[in-house]
Amino acid sequence: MNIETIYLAIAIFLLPLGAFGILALFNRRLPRGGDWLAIGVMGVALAFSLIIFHRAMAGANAGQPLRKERSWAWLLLNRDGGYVSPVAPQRPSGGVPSHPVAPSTTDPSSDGRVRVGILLDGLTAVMLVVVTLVSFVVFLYSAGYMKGDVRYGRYYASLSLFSASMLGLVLSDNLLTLYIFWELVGFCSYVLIGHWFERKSAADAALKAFVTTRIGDVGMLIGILMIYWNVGSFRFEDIFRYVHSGGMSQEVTILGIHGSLRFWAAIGLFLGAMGKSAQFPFHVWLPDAMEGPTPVSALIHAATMVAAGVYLVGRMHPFFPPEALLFVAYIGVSTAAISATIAMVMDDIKQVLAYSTISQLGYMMLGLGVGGVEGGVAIGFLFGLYHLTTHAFFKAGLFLGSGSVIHAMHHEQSMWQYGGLARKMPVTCVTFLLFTLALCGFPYLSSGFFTKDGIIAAALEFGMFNSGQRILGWLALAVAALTSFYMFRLIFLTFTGRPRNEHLYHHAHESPMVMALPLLLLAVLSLGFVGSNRTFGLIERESWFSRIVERPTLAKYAIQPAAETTVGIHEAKTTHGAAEGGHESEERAHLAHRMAVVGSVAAFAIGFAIAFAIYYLRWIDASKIATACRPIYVFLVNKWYLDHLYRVMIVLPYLAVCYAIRLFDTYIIDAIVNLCGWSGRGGSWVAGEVDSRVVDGAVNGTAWTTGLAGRILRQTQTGLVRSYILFIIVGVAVLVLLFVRV
Amino acid sequence: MVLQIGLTHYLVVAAFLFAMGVIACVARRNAVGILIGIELILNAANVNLVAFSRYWGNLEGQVFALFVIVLAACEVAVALAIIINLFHGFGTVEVDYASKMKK
Repeated sequence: MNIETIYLAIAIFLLPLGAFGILALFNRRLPRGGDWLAIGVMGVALAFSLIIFHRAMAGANAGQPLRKERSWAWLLLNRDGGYVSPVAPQRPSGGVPSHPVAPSTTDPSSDGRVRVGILLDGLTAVMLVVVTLVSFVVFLYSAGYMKGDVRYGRYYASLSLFSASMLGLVLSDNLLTLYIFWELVGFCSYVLIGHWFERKSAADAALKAFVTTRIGDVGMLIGILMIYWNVGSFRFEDIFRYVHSGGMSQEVTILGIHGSLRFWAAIGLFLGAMGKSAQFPFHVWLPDAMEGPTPVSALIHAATMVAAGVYLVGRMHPFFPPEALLFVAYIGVSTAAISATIAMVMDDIKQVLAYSTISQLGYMMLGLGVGGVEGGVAIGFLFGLYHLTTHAFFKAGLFLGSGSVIHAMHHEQSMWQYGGLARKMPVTCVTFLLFTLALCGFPYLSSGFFTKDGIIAAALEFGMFNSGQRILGWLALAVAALTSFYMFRLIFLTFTGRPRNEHLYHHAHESPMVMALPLLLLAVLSLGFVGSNRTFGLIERESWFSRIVERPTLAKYAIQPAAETTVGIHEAKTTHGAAEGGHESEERAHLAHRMAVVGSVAAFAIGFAIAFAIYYLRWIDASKIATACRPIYVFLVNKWYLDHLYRVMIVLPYLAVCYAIRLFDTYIIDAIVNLCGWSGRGGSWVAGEVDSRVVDGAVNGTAWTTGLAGRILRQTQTGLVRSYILFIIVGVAVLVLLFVRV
Repeated sequence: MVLQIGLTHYLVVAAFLFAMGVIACVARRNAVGILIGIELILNAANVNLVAFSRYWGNLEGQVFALFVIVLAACEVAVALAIIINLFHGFGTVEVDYASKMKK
């Protein structure tokens, strides 16, 4: 039990990676495709994560927050240490430090090589638990759901790599390895979404997920390179230190927008996060990703894939300048609103859940966006990440529950074919209801209530001292009502009422133990105690999460003690926007929080009531509403026409370019090649003709001439002696006439 | 005028004989005819030899003539044997039919 925490962390990463290696090579030879290995290894990793979490919690309670680091010199990118920007970064006026560049690349031990390593702090500890717990549950559940699958072993191998890369991502202390694992996560999602690649829709969805996230990743890579170019290091610590001392503040104008280099690098990073965390307008891949096996959807939506983007923004949070965070907040809130409206009209149970995930991710981004250190609300940051944690549990539960339903209904996914399943599947129904309550924010009983409430409160508070941004909070509240509506629509359509498809209903059955157990475990974790805080309603809200996860501020990365004081004042002034008294801001926070509580409870009630009236009591026929608001309904069912828009704006032009290139290929490149071919053929033909006519002609001609002479001369060879005698006589006579002169 | 028979007359007769022999050889198809033609040619030479022998007053020509007669006898013996075989093989003594080796 006395193993050093850092080694536990390394083991957590290496165990699933090793399992992947073994499964990838030997899964056909192992009994049961090696699922026991993957599940067991993930169980051990979960145990280790819990130990780390326990230590972190104990440390936080004792006033010693967990922070372990270890790094190694890795790559030699440039010989003479970090690149130092030729333009000296502008320093804030005042006597703050003279040397902005002091990254650890100048550390003699690393001899100019890029350092990579492991960073273990409170946030990482929480993320480790989330990832290993959800992965473990999903692995276990998959043993039931994927039973008898054609690529069972490969499935577990990919799952292991998926979890391993996500663990590596949260353990990274630098952007370089984070980016590597980031791409690995994307790759694994590609493999797993396309697990049933015999179906064209699955293969297309996998490709769509990969390409869409790649587009964001290009922005992220640009952001990372901008940072490295200036800072000379990939490590978070060096980056924060550099930025804190005034680095990367050169003004750059892109697309007519002025912003500091730091702003643009942050936007670049956020583009990557938008792709991975399915933020508008890059969210289109996530609903399609439902083509993968349902446990994979659970993993993607809860722990591994989409969490990465939120985690990145959370990890790099101090780097984001206020303008970039405002951008994050607006993207987040619009994502939440757009996807919530689409979720209301979807018929496929998994599609509803997919859009709810996008919506919740929007909430998280909103929380992070309003949680900036300069002019932001402290709880925004905390609850953004906190919501990531609680959401991971209940969203994994929702997907596993829907998987249970789909499994029971023989892979029928349309909710209009369900109905009355509560009687047949009590465990699934009850747990599903608990997850739904958590997602909708049922007051006090559910974890989601506290965290979502925190985000809404932060957004409202943000709107109070930035009067231009009031809409953030109100939209967040409205989305809460929509969430409640579409989730209860799902519940009522699936579990209550009369069965709409008697045949399927007749065959429905409760899932096996190995699938029910994970549901129960996750249901427990979705209860209120996970999200609650003892002293609710105060500004210094205490919960286990806010204790263990510190809100990072740049001031922590001051290089010299002298700078500490200056920045300390600076921070005190800006923490809550303006230089107002602490009392006033506290009161405002109170007000915001009260509004958030009342508002979100009201939103929950409104959404629930409408869904109850339409889908349970059937006072109003849903199809009548759809026909009454036909344009809106069609607009929503077509997902705001975003796919069509992409098709027209990106896919079709792309295909057109491809077509043009193809034409160029066929008519120009091919023409040149064919011309070469033809000229070669022509030359050969001429040479052949010369050969057969001239050379062969000369040879044949010689022979023919000889033959001709022979044929002519043969006439004289009659074989008759007397003619020979005649020749002799004639010859002699000629000779005589020639030589004898009388 | 008394016709003096000199060398020239012999030579003319010999030439006439020679010509007759050659014509016999060329024109006739009968093997025996050809043989006779050859004999005529040889004897034309004999006439010449004897005539020159007389003309020069020595005996060398006459000795040659004797040799030629002997040779001619031998030749006739051989030639007749060939002709008999020819007749045996082809049933005729026409030389034109003996063209089996031509093709």
